[in-house]
Order: sequence, then C-alpha cells, then structure tokens
Amino acid sequence: MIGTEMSFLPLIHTTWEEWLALHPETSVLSYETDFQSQYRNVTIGMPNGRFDRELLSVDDRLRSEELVLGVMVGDAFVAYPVTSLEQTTGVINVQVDGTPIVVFYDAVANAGIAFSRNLDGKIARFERAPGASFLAVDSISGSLWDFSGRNVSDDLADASLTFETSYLSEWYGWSAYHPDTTIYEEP
Amino acid sequence: MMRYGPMVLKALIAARTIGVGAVIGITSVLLIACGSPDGSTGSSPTTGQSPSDIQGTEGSRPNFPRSRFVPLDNPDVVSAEAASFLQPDDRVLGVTVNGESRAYPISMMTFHHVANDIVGGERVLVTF
Repeated sequence: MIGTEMSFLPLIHTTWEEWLALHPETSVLSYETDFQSQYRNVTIGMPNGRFDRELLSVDDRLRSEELVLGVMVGDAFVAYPVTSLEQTTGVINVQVDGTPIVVFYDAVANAGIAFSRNLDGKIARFERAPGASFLAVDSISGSLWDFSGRNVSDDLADASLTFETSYLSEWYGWSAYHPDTTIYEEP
Repeated sequence: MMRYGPMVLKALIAARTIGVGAVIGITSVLLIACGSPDGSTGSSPTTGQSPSDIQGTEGSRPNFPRSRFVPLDNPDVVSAEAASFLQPDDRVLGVTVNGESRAYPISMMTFHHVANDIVGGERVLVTF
C-alpha cells in the first residue's frame, strides 16, 4: 500500500436545504449516537487566532479565517476567495495549469465546486442561467447543468461534468497544506 | 465551541507531515479508499487501521490526546424525511457515489472529524 494515494470525490459543503433540493432521495447520518450531546453547529469563516498559533508558518496574503474555494489541477493549486466569487455571476471560466475548468459558486448556499470544461473533447464555456436556483448553461450543447454538475436537460439526462478536485476551506488550512498556492484575482 | 480546533489542526498537519492519506484541512475533503467493500484490497472501515494506529507506526506522535477523536465507523443513517434534527440553513457535507447520496451534518463532523462509511458500494472517508 505504500505510495498509494486516495483519490478525492466531490463533497459538497452546502446547506441542508440546498443539498436536499439537489438530492431529494439523500440519506443522512443519524443523530442517535453516543455523542449526541456533543453535537453543535459551527460558523465557518470566523476569526480564531488560536489556529495561527498552531501553524509553523502563517501565510498573510489573506486573513486566516477567510473562506476560499481551493482547487487542485495537476500540480497547481489555486485559491478562489469567496469574497471574489461573490462579485461574479457564480460561474467562472478559467484555465489552471493549462486545463480549462469552470468554477461554480452558489451565493445562496455559500458553496463552491470546480469541474472540467472538456465536453466530449470540446472545450465549453459556461454561463449562469437565469433563475433563482443555481444552473449553468454550456456553449456547446446549450443545455443546463446543476450545481453538482448533473445535466438537467432532457436530451442529455444522466450526463455529468467531470469533477476537478476542489473544496471550501479556511485560508490558514489551504495555505498551510499548499504554500505555493496562487490566489485568484478577477481579470 | 471550537475548543478542540487547534488540536485538530495540529493532528491533521502531523498526519500530513508523515504522509498519511491525502490533504486534509479543517474543511471538508472526501477521499475514497482503495478497493471495494467486498474486495480483497485495503482494509474495512471497522477493522482497518485507525488514524492513530497509522500515526504511531511512523514514530511521529502528534501532541494531542488520542481519545478526543472519535471517528464514526459505518454510521447509522436515516431518510431525509426522518432528519427532523436538521434545519434548512444547517450546513452539511453531501456526497453522491454511484447514484446514492448521503449528507454528513457539520454539527456531527465538527465532533467526529472523520467518518468511515460506505456509499454507493464504495468505501469513503469523509473529513471535516
């Protein structure tokens, strides 16, 4: 097993309401454990100087608690600050390490995820589709994709975008693991 | 509320330093272990090495009491309709594998930090 690497699966950090809308058939962990009295919600992205004191080095390009969507493509690491994503439509077409990817950000749920823009060998561009719930439309098929990368147009039902490793993180954690990360800046 | 936070981070960085698994932050990362539940590779979530076992074998013991981390192994699940303990704005980690979806409430993951589970027939490790 030495040298074996586990692979990342898409894990969407979002609200229960949004997750349920995406996957009405979802199961949920039972609260009935021996530790129920210990369960409590936390607010992500809040200042906590204690974390900084535990780190060997602190990357002061962003505030420690600032939320970023961390994206890994090949050997490249990019942090997309939520404060920057909030200024966008929620759909950003970018290239990371030469790979065309699209970043989805759902401001309602404060959730982010990245996918490949390669659709059957062609490079698509995505735009946010009108409407309250998060949907994106691609430039090749003109069909709609939901936040989890599923196609929701009848003609392409069951098609899915290819996940690019990405997850929501507080900056101190992302930058500690990936000190060579770049930070996305709006063009 | 975040009483264990610093120790969590130290432990995770220690794990990273000695090369256990892949990158794990205070935020959520889902990893899939090798092999299928009925396959012969890898070890099962219930009988395999725990993270503390792995750390011990490397001779680099992180400076935290092991007993504070209680992973969830093969956790019980309920249907969405039965999840009355969740409010719409509560945050969850959601995963879909082979068409099966499961939500891991942040309120639970903040305590356990690790869940060893099987979703859609695949062994998965969920961390927060």
